[in-house]
Order: sequence, then C-alpha cells, then structure tokens
Amino acid sequence: MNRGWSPFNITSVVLGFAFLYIPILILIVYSFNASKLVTVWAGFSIKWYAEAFANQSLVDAAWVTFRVAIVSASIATILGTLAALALTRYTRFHGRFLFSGMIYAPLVMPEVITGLSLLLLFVAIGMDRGMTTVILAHITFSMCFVAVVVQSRLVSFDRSLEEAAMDLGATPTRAFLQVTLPIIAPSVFAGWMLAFTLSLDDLVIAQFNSGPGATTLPMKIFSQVRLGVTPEINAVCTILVAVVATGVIVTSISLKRQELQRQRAEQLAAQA
Amino acid sequence: MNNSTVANRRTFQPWNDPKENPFVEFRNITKRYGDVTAVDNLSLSIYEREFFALLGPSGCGKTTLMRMLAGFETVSEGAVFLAGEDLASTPPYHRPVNMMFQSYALFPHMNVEKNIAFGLKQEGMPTGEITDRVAKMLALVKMEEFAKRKPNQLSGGQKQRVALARSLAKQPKLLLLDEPLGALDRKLREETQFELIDLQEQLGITFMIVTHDQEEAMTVADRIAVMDRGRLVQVDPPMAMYERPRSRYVADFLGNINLIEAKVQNVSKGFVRLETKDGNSLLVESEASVSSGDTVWFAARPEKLQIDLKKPKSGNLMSGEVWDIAYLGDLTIYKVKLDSGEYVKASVLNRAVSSDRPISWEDKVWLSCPNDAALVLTS
Ligand SMILES: Nc1ncnc2c1ncn2[C@@H]1O[C@H](COP(=O)(O)OP(=O)(O)OP(=O)(O)O)[C@@H](O)[C@H]1O
Ligand SMILES: [Mg+2]
Repeated sequence: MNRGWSPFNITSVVLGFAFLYIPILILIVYSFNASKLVTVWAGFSIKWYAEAFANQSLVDAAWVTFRVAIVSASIATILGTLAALALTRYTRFHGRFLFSGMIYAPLVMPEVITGLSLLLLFVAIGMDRGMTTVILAHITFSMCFVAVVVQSRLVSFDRSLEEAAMDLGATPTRAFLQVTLPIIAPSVFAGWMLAFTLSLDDLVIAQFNSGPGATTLPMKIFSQVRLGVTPEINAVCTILVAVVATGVIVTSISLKRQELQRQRAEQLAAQA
Repeated sequence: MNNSTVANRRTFQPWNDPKENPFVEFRNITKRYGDVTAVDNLSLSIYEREFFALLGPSGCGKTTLMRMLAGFETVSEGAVFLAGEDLASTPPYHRPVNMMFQSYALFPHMNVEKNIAFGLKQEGMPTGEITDRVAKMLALVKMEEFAKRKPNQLSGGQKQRVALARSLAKQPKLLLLDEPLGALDRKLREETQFELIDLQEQLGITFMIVTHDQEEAMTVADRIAVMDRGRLVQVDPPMAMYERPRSRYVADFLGNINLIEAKVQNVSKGFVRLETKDGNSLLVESEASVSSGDTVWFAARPEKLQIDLKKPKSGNLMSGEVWDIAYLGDLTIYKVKLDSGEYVKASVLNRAVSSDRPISWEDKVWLSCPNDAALVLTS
C-alpha cells in the first residue's frame, strides 16, 4: 500500500514534532543568548556556560546527580535482570501472577506516591535522608523498567543454549555468565541506559527522599527557576539534553549495528 | 575398520550375556508433561561400547528419553542408572554424558573454534591440548576453513557438523545424538556415519542416536529400538529387526512390507498354513503362537517375492496383474494387483543392463515366495 505524503499527513507530522521539540529548541537557543533577559535575543554567546561551570552549587548538584544515576542504574540493572530471569524461568511457582503484577505496578504508580511511601519507610526505620536514600529510592523505581526491558529479550532466548553449556560441564552460574549474559547484554545495557536517564531527570522522588548535601540537579534547577529563569539554567539544561540525547543515540546505534551485523552474517551464511 | 574390529563387531552381543551389566539402564521410566505422557513405563538397557539407535515417528518420546539421561528433565516415575549408579541426584554438568541437540544449540556469540573448545575449557584442560583437540575435531567434521566463523555465518549442514564436533570434543563415556546427520547431504552423511563408527571403535564411546532415517540406523547401530507413543515396541539388532519384526507396526516402520490379511487353517511343527480371502493357500515357517481360525497377516518384503510370467512349480503362489512399474536404477519395483483386489509390491534387482523389461504393464504375473521368507504377524 502506498501512502503518499498527503497534506494532512504532513501537517500532523509537523505539528507533532513542533509540539515535542520547539520548547526544547527555545531552551537551547536562549542558552546561547548574550542578554541576561531570557526572552530578548541579544546575539550569540557562550558566557552562560562558563558561568554555570563557575557556579559551585550547580556543579555540586550535577556531580551528585551523576553519582546517584550511575550507582542506582547499576544496582537496578543487576536486580532488574535477576527479577526478569526469575519471571521468565520459574513459570510455575505459586504466586507468579501476583509477583509479575507487582513488578509492573511501579511503572504506573504515581511518582508522588512512590516518593512519599519511600519517605515514610526511611523515617520509620530511622534512616537519615541523604544520597543513600535517593539512591535506594531510584533503584526501587527504575529496577522494574530494567526488568521489563530484559524480560522482553529473555522471552525469546533459547533455553537449550544454557542446557548445552551445562551439558558441556558448565555450572549454572558459569552457563549464565559465559552464555546467557553475553547474548542478552544489549538489552541489559539498554536497561541500564533507561535506569540512568530516569534517575538523571527525576525530581519528584528525589525531592521526597533527599537530605542536606544531596541536592540533585533537577532539584537545584527547580528551586532556582522559582526565583526566575536565568540563562545559566538554560545552559545547564542544554547540557543535560545533550547528555541524554547522546546516551539514546549511542544505545540505538549499538543496537542497530548489532542487528546489521546479524543480517550481514545471515546473508553470508545463505551464500555459503 | 580393519578385520579384527569387524570380527569384534560380529561377536559383540553383550545384551545376550547375562553376566554383562548394563551401562545405561532405564528402569520403568514414565515422563508426564501435565496430561501428556511422553514416555510410558519404559525399561531399556544399553551396554558399554554399544551403538544404540532409537527410531520412531515424530513425538513418540525419543528426545524426552535422551533429555532424561542428560539430566534436563526429571523422571516422573522410575529411575535412570549409569554404570550402576542412580542418576537422580546428579546435575547435568556432573554427568559423563554429552548430548548433541536436535536444534544444535550453538553459542551464537562464539566462533566455531570457541564453541568446540567450550566443554574442554570447563574441565580445565591446558590451552595447548585444547588447541590440538579442537583442530582434530574440526578435521573430523571437515570444518577447518570455517574455524573463525560465527554460527549465524554457517549453513544448516555446517552448523550440524559443528554441533557434532562440540559434543564429541570431550570424548564422553556416553554420547547422545539427537538426529545428528539430518541436514547433511547424502554423501557427507554416509561418510560421517562411518566416521562415527570408527570413532566409537577407537574411543570406546557408547552411542545413543536418534534418527528418522532407517537406513542410517541399520548402518551404524548394534541394536535398534522402535518406539511408539512413549513405549518401546521392539529392541533388536538391525537384521533381526528387519527380518523378524514382531508386529505390523515395526515391519511397516522399517522398510517396505506387503501385508495380506489371512485366516489360520492349521498349525504344525513350526509351520502355519494360511488361507487368504481369495482362497490362496500359503504355507509359512513360523513359531508364532496362533491357532486355527485366527485372523493374522501374511507379511513378505518386496525383495522376497519372485515375479514370473509363467506359473512356478512350487512355493506360495499368488496371481495378479502388473499395475505399475517404478524403475529406481538398482531396483525395479512392480506393483501388482492381486485377484483379490489387494496391491502387492515386488522388487527385482536390475542385474542386466538391457533396457527392455520382460514384464510390462497389465501382464498377468505370478508372485511366489519360499516358506521361510515370509512372516505371520498377529498384531
Ligand atoms: N516441555 C514439554 N511440555 C509438554 N509436552 C512436551 C514437552 N516436551 C515434549 N512434550 C511432548 O512429549 C512428546 C514427546 O516429545 P519428544 O520431543 O520426545 O518427541 P520426539 O520423539 O523427539 O519427536 P521428533 O522426532 O519430532 O523430534 C510429544 O507429544 C511432545 O509434544
Ligand atoms: Mg526429537
């Protein structure tokens, strides 16, 4: 079926993309604005970037955010992968349905509720709020995203590969590390990237669970914006956008390349 | 194979020796998947150095049987013994058994070489020895030039050869091959069959092989088991299986056979006299336990039937008309419509080069077979 570019199609695509990207574009453009006034263009400049980097509290917040994101994404990836394994492998245990439902629930749970309930937990067990609590909170909500991504790969994973490994003398742990993990690695990596970006831009949950000395970048930006939008904040946000976009592009390129290699290999096999 | 191994093979019959202990023993094994009974109260003994073939239609439980031996399925009832030891509590990675998977199960992220070396690495073999062994295995399956390729860069037959090499590399005590040669072309398959036999002679490996190719089973196996819906129907050496099948199922499964329904007239001293529906009287040498009046089947393989234009003087005779002729090169198969309306096949070896056949379509012919070349089947 040939669907040409009807005027209707063009309009909806243009409007859709405009809606998605014009705000971000404005933000980026004004981060290069020489004027202090956010809405008045006064020529190109990168001085706000220099100022952002000179602003110690902003740099500190960025540093906290990156550490939280890397640690929480890594732990969430391990836990999420294990959960995905349990869900795909042990299909007959009692309460499986409940368990898989519970893994998905946080995906749709309002962040306010996740944040608040975690706060209540930390208060109840007498844990001082700080970076650790933010990390724990981020692990909790991002590991289900990892579990979903990894599980979708594991569903199509050929179990006989693991059996073959064990048949050749590998213990289940070795079979997992040497056979299963390398094969599902791209999806595990994608899960990590997802957890990383989720942690990077989370405001609500961090707001609830953070304490002194653990102000994340989104929290910092949010509090500054209440005093008025500064071009400096625009600059920081542009950097954030760049980091996230790079992550997404790198992930999709690596997945795409793997797919291409696979296709080329299959063509080769067909010729052999 | 040299002459002595040929002689050894001829006298190799541990299953007839009550002093021999079985190497593998399935003792009253049942395997259920929910409502499906994949293996049904099956008992089987396999002896050391034996080449054992499993034959049976799709879904009869061959793979399931092997998987229980390799340790990937638990048995629902009964026990599996290896060298006298109950395997129930031995995990797959501690069983001295290797299996070649029906789906090959090659590791997609490793090249051919690494796939073959995988098992050797697990047992901690020194690197130098691994390299030698891998090279030997590659040569065996004629895959040297593909050593660096990944599995998805190989054709089906090549993958199968790598899977075979990988399962052979550890030189296990027991090797389970689940349709190991199905994807190979005929010539390579025959070569590999003989390689397998040689390897078994050299290394003393016990083989259990699943195949859909009965010719392959006859070529490689010391004994063949025919399975049907989770049960063993008959276990015998190839010749006994072919010449003395105990049921119509086995007779039909292994090779071609003509089956004609008949009634027992009388039984005396190892001979059974039958009468077919159209009144032919047939005398068969048989130990079958039948009594007069029973409905049985007269069974004769196509190559046991002689076809003539003139009525032979003696033997079990049937007359009919040539319905169809199939020329197969080495053989010509005549499909004859008997006077009773049944169809019977007779095959004739093409000895002479001459292209004109003395027997042609719609000729009236006589089929005959000696008393000891036919069978009486009751089930
Ligand atoms: N995991 C399973 N769950 C449910 N049923 C199964 C399972 N594995 C096998 N079966 C059933 O058990 C029976 C025997 O299967 P099996 O794989 O042993 O057959 P097979 O003889 O190897 O057939 P083929 O020649 O097609 O490979 C089949 O009816 C199959 O559907
Ligand atoms: Mg099978």
